[in-house]
Amino acid sequence: MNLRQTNACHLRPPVRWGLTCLALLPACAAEEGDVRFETWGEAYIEDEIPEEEFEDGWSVKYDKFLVVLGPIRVEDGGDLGGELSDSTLYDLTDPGPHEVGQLTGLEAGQWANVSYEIPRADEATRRHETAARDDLTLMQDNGYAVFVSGTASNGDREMAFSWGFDVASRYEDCVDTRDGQETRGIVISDGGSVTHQLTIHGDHLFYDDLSASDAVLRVDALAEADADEDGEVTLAELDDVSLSELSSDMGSYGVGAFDVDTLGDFVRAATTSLGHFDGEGHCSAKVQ
Amino acid sequence: MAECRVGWTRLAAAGSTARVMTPCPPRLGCSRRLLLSGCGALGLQAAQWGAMAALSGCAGDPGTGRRVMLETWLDVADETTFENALGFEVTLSKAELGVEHLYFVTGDSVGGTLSQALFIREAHAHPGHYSAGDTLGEMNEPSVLDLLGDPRLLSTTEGITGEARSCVIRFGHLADAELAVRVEGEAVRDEQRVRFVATARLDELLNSASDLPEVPGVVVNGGHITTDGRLLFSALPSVWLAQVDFEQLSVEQRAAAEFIPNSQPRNAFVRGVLKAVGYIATFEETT
Repeated sequence: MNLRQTNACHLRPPVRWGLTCLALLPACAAEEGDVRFETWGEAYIEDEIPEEEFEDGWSVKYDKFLVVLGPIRVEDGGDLGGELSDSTLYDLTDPGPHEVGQLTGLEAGQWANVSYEIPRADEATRRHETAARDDLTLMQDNGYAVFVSGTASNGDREMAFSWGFDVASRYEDCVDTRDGQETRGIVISDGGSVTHQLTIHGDHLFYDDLSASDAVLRVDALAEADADEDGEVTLAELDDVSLSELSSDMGSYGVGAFDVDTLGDFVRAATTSLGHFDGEGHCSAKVQ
Repeated sequence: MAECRVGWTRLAAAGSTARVMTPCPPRLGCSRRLLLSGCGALGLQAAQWGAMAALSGCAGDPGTGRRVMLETWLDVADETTFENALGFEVTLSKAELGVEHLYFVTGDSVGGTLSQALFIREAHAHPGHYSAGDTLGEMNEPSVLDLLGDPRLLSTTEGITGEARSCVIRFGHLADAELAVRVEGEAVRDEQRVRFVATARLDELLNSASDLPEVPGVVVNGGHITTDGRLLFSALPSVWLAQVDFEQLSVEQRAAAEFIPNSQPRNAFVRGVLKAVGYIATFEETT
């Protein structure tokens, strides 16, 4: 990724206020560190989402999970520490984690506002080695931010799916929850290097609620949408299913504050919750 | 079991899986350092709000945390005649909503519209991550709102300056103790003409995240509260009825058709009432 990095020494308040810039340069230069970003789809995307995770006996195996990862910004209260500005296409079914990029020379201390984007692919989008050339063409031609294909299975039943999503989202104020505590953003140590992960959760496309804390994974309602009974459920078929037609035993399909009326838009909305930080850490997501 | 300590009030909520976090309740304004965020139902206990005055003198940003007087008004914003998504022209003759409480809070709205523009205002990276944040103002007098009537003052209460980004609506009872909402009218499409009565009980209007009869995450327009002002609240029956297929109502010759439980019309209506985009909240300064 291209690195567009500001000189932290010029931007951060403790330095900015002092200066008389020359006098402080030595101290500033001595308190710097690096941050490296990687991305990973975890076992749910690389292997499968097993049956025991689903409420209705299905399992899901992805054969493609294409996602565009865009600019990553490290800020603190409006002070920009650095940015990895490119957008790059990854296929997260390829075993990871995968290198995304590195920012060097960040001022030591906490950078509380880390954000990244899952933008629509465009001509400037690059291809990571995990993604094929045809994948990049597919994403660019359709302006997709996410594309998934695979098979859901339940005994003798199978549901193939191949869904492209042109919903671009931005994940802000990411929180690291590793080690059992919440840290907003990242902490740079003097002379050190830390690694943070843009973790993509492939199970979220199958949650049966967009806002409930007790949402569970289900496929039944999606599989029932196969109107032409060809074994593949398309987004167009999901668009034809009104949530108000679903029986309660198929799941709550609560939409919270989303203005969503069909299964198609339900799954599109679910793509805005794919992005995480360092495993289970969460971010505020906004569609652009 | 995830636990939430809010001041001296401890709220508890059942967690589910390791990946899912529970939503945080509205907290009192000007109390970030006192009131630890955590997890729990959206419900507030009266003692929390009662303590607002004691907490409102907190130091911090001089633009936030000052006491102000806030009037909450019912605003009538919707049309009485509209076309729904299935092509029915609907004319309302009655629209009543029971509201027990309105909270104007600092938490960002969660969700948005995915219709034409595929635009979502805000979401969170897990189901259940809506955090109401601090409560800056409220309407605390249970009221039956006549949505076809005139605008009226609902309550005048003390509030706190700050950025009110969303509103939480807690439903209450109509005069009929079981019902929380009742809409009557006529729907017409081509040669079809149906008089209807749409109702929902309080226990049908449970938010899937909190399991309380409420709608969180209603966007507050112009919610930067710096002075005394008015919080305007309106509800949109056109959104509630947008997905109702009136053709599925069993039509009697003389009586208005009711929305039978577990039918498409009833499910669509209840889903509509639970939509945050079915409500509008706006702050206006009075000075």
